[in-house]
Amino acid sequence: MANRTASTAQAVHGMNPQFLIETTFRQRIYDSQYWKEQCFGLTVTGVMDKAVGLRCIGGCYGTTRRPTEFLCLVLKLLQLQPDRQMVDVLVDQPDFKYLRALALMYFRLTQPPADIYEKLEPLYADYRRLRVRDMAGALALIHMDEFVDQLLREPQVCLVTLPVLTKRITLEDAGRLPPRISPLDADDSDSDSVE
Amino acid sequence: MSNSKKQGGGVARRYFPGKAPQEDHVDLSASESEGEQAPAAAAAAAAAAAAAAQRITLAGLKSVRVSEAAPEEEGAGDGDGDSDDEETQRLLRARLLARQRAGEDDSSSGSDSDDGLAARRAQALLRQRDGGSGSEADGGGASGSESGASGSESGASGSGSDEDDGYAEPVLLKPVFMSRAQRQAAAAATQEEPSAEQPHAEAAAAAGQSADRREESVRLAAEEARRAREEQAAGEQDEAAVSDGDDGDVDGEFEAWRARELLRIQRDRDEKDAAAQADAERERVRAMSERQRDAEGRERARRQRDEKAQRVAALAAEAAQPAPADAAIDTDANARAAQEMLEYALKQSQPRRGNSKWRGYRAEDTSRADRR
Repeated sequence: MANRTASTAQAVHGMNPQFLIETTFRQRIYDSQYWKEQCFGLTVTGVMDKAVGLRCIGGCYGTTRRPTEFLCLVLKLLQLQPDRQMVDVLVDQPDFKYLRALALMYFRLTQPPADIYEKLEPLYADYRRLRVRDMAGALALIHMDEFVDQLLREPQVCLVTLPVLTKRITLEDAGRLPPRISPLDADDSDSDSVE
Repeated sequence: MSNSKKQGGGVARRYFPGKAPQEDHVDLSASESEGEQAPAAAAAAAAAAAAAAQRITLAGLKSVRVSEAAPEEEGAGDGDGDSDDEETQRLLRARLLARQRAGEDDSSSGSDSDDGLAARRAQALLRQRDGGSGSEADGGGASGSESGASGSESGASGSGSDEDDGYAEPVLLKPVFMSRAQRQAAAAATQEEPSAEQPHAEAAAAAGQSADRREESVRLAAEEARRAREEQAAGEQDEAAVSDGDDGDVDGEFEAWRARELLRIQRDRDEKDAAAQADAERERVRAMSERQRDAEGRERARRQRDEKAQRVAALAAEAAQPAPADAAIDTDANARAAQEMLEYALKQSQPRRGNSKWRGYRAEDTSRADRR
């Protein structure tokens, strides 16, 4: 019961949303103490509260492949499947960077390619620091724009295999996306216009 | 005549297994000969005979001494019902006496008489019932037979000799009905017996096991708590060492971000240029004729072979160079190996038209007609 997907949830990429995380890691999450103690009976609001208190992002680490709290909350969001508006709010809020990272991860896993490019690319301008825990358990620093770039480019982030993303050129050729405008180009154009 | 008298007396003849009847012809019919008796009297005699026969069968396995009973029956048989009853009682008394005599004389030594046979059968039954107490009952067998009138279950098993004439039957225990209350009482009694016997030992064992389990669980909980504290402490130290604050070098962060962004912009441009170049090449090749396409393909293959030959030659030249003087290695063996490898590489780098290893049929290759 605690690990079952919400009855109102819809299939994502043709499957149970929780299955976006591999069975091995999903089972590790189910068996973790944090999932059993903190994530039982949690709502989206509760997930937000937990995400505000996050200290790092990452997948599973250590010899025992212990899942991070970040990964547990990702699975919880997949289980609850909040609506699009709430996810947009979580992504757009600038106050809590780990909450934004969590929302970005969920957005990348569940939304269509065009929406992903439209929502994630503007966040290239956010260069705040994030702690990331690698598989050995050591902490490292990463910036939010690098995290966004990984979500758009890498096949696997935080031990989660991301769904295949259509290339931007293909969407541009199809007319579904305009060419990307970099924040630097935007700043330069603004400065030129000001001048 | 005896038959008619017997028939007139209404005595039913029994046929005992293992012993043929004495007379040649035994008319077992209850009806008497014709014209000797009135039908009413005949019917009454038949009923009395049937009753007498039933009484005889109820006597059990005891055999009827037909030879002794025959003259007695002859003498006593008057054909009346009362006389039949007296006759039956007389026969029973005779049987009892015979059994007693058999028990006193230990006459189970193979006598073929009816009494001896019956006695032997009875003794075999008793022996089976008593089991191993036959030897013990030998001493009391005589006294038991003297005291017991029936002597069926008094333990009179006779002598210790095993005399099984083939009439020993398996003893079947007669089922005894027990009410539900009796069954439950018996079950409760059997259950209480072991617990009553070892109450203290079991209680002590259970207490010991529970204590062990409690200690184990306490130890595991302490271990888990210690591990959790250590992990938390380690995590806090790591987090303190790796600060994710954004209030530090703002300009430096901005410059680092700018460099990353420029790299991303350049990467995007390179990808676009590569895609445009691939599209243009695709269009150019599509616009070419087939002849031009084949010629370009062969030229490309020749160029690739030449490049490969140059790489192999460079490797061979490098391998042919003498080894350094300070190298403590076997130069002769290495030189020979290098030479062999060079020869093999040069042989492999030679152009080979087609995959056929039959090189003597070049003139027969019809695929070359178009190229001429």
